[in-house]
Amino acid sequence: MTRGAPISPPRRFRSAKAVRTITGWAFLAPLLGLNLVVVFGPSVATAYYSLTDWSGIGPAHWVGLANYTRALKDPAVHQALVHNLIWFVLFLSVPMIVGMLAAHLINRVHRFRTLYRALFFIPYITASVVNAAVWKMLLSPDSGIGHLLGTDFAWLGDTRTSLYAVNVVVDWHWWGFLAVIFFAAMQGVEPQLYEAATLDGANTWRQFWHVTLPGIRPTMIFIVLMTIIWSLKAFDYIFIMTHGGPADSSQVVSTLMYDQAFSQFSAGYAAALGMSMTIVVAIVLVAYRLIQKRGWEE
Amino acid sequence: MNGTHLSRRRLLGLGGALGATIALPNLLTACGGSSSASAGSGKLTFWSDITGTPNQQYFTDKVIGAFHKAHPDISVKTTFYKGSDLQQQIRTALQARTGPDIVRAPSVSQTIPFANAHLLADLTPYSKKWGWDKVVSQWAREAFTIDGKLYALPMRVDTMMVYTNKTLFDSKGWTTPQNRSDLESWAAEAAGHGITPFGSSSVDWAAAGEWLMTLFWNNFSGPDAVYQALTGQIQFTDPTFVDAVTLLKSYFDKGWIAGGPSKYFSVPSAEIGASLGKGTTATIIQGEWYMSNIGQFFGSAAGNDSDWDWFVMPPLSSDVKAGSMPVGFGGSYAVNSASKQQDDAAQFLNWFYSDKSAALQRMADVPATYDIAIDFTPSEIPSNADPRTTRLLTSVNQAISSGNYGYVTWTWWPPKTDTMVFQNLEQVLTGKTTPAEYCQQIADSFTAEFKAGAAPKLMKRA
Amino acid sequence: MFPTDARVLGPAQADDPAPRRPDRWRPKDWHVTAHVILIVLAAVAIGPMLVMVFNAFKSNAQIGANPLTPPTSLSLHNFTQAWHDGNYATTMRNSILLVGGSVLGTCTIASLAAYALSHLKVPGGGGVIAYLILASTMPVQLFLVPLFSMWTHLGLVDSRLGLLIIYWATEAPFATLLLRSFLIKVPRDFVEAARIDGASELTIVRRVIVPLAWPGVMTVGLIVALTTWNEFFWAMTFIHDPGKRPISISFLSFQDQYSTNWGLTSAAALFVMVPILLLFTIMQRHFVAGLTSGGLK
Repeated sequence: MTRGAPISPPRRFRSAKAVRTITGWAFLAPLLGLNLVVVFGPSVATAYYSLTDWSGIGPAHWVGLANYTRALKDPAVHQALVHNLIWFVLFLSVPMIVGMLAAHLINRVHRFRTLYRALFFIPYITASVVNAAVWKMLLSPDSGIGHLLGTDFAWLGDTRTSLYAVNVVVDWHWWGFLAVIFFAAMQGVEPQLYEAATLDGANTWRQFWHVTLPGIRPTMIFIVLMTIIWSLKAFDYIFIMTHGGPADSSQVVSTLMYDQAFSQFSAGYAAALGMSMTIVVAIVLVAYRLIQKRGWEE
Repeated sequence: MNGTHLSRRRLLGLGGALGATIALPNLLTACGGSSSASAGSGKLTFWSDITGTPNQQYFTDKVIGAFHKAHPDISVKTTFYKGSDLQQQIRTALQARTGPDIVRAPSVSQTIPFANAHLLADLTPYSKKWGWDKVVSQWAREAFTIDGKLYALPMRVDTMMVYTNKTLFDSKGWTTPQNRSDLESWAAEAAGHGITPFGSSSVDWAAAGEWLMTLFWNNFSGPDAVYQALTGQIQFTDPTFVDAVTLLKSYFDKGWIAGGPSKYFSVPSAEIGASLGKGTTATIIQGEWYMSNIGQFFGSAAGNDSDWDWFVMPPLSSDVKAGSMPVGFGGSYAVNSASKQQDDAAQFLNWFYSDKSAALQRMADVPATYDIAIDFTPSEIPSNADPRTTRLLTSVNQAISSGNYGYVTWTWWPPKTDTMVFQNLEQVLTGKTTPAEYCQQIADSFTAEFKAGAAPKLMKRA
Repeated sequence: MFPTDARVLGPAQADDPAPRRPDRWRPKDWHVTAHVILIVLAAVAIGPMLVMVFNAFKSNAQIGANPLTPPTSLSLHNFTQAWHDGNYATTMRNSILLVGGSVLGTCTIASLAAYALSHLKVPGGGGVIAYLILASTMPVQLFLVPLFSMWTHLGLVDSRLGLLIIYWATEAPFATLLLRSFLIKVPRDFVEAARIDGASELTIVRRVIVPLAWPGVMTVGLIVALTTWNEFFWAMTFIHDPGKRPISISFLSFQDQYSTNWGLTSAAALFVMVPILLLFTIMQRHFVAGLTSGGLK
């Protein structure tokens, strides 16, 4: 449909640059077209419903920003946000540290690299429903690991531990993926840098700190960005394993939203929660762009 | 209303054709367009939540198969779903003005919003035409009648029961508790043996808490108090309701129920079933529907030689008569108002409800799956029925005919309050709110919904 | 599955190209320690999965007695029953079709878009990128009703194509962002040279860009394949005909039916897991090569 003819003489309103722009948008068209239908259209509907008292069934009545002001004051939302924050801190640190350690070690050994990577990767490629089912069994007070070790503590059933128990499962499923990503990034660090560091008498730790880490910084920043977004969207494992309970002790914003939409008959309120999450992500993105512009990534 | 529509139109203008497609179904529902006369193809669709291969096979062969024989011109295609997924699927599909012709709708309180949104067809003409008033019990028809129109028929009569490991009871010399002090001394004894007196779990069904509240409100506060509260004469903050919650919590705190709250929240119901079979749990508090699952935990297949039985929860206070059972509905059957074959779908319902001997045969063949609300005498129950099934059918029949019945939350409470009953109970069990605060929340929500007319029409007291 | 005895791992090879470190440890000790830690980590990763594999070979009674130990005999009964009852022959075929369709479609859409964003200097490209990230954060749970209405009107419910379109739309943004980071590294000169030879932009994508960024395309393809294979939320809502359901739904309904039978459920879970595991094992080198050559670096 688009023939970029670079040698043809420029016509009246068309330079080669204009042709390229048109081609560019034509190439973007399938992506944006599909996105418009499947994501943007329903988003507009969601934005509209967030301004109504829609129950999820039947007609909706305009209520303006009432849902948003309610969300600001809702203790359930505050609690869920705190859980999201805890989730973010853990989900960012634990898999990152373990993954980094594993990547660093794989990078340093020379045997069984492929095997380690393959094994580390297994939890990541396994479907969430399967992983959740396995861990529900392992964490069961009457038959799981704890029972074997002589305690019948209900990790998923106690309000003090449920959020952390689910988080452990998610960290477990995620660190292997990070290990492989970081390993790939470490492969790209110039070997000469290590040699120079060695000549300077730097030990392993200092090499890691001064050579490896700066070498993979762009990857890390990208992962941090995605982790913030994924932490806000944290849903599937929590939903499958605890439904946000018991007594909301593992409720995060997305599970709260789901509950409001489908159990509490407050689809309008749920839409407002969803829109608010997107606004938060937008703010994070702007911050990310600013960091990028300051040259952190380079 | 007008203002709403205008702003929506304006939005449509902005969103263009795309937005139009999105909002169209809702506009249709808002205008109350019931779409069609019934020039159907005779091919009906139905989504079911019957689980287990043998149960599904029975439905396909003995229900749908029999219907096909009786009505060769109509065919029904069934798709099976997981229970909690099915309601989501049906809601999404109905709002898109599509979905199955015959709708497996939720219980009364959740069916009202469906009917108010005109997603279900009005069955009143069919009821008149085929004389359903002589077939389906009056209390059941009334419950699904909104503004004089019948929108659904009950799928299954629900009640609460206590399932026991009969072999364990026999070996310990335990007998069925007759009152609260019986029950409590028995529970203390069982717990002393290291046996969990009452198994229960909210892992696979978040709403399991309302089964417990149904039992404690009806068997402690009593059906009369519940009736008065549900008709707005007294408040749910009345001490009798608060005390029932306090009692339930004390059973939890003693470890009698599920071994404590945290296990109730984390041990899957399958494991609890297995421990009932093994005898490490003495009883399970469940609904009558559990009768179709319990068999798998007993006998050689489960690796034990025990057997099960059940009893009616004894009265927990002097306000309740022995043999009182809470009743309600586990879902309903309705006709999709967007269906092009409404007549054929109604024809199926008529066949399903009108043939009394076939209906009783289904009740006898499969425990607690096809217990529709029809009037019958105990002698009409087929003799091939399991004695425990027969006892269930006669006990419920007896409770209803003698007026000794209570009200299950998932049928007679308005929808939001119903959700609150089990969701907020979690806060009580974990000590985050007190029983009094919980009852206050229930009362506030109920009052609001009652005023808005969202409360179902209640089964009268005798 | 992996050596547990540190001795068999051996010391580093003599021609070890890694830089020598003046540690107090000799390299041999260092490598032994590294392998020990890596083995522990590997055990953490696959331990839970091993329990599942063990249970798949056990009867329910055996699991009840010893839920976490290896099986004493190798009974394949669970596998044959799970395969049959879960209708895996059908659902696996459907999933393979869906994975093929979504990989081809998403990679095509993402290649074109990523090329436009990396080499065609589209004005507003930065805005497109920001939009893509933002759009991928919208909570899909809330889209069900409007999207379902639209799909019903378009006759796309209960159709594999309808589901594929949703997969293309939801998976293409991330694929585009990832692929773009690979394409940035393709030197401009190659593209210019092709243009001077009179190649159309479409030909440049096909003949120059995709081959040069092949590891990246493979990586994106694998991630898309994985996402599609494990997806169940959309599939459950938009596919009702059991003959068209994918494998993830097979497992879910199986789990519901046999929640009490851990052996059967484990066997059913392995049917979901093993094909994608094989795919990743075969493609692993490409995957890591892809990540190394660009993208997330």
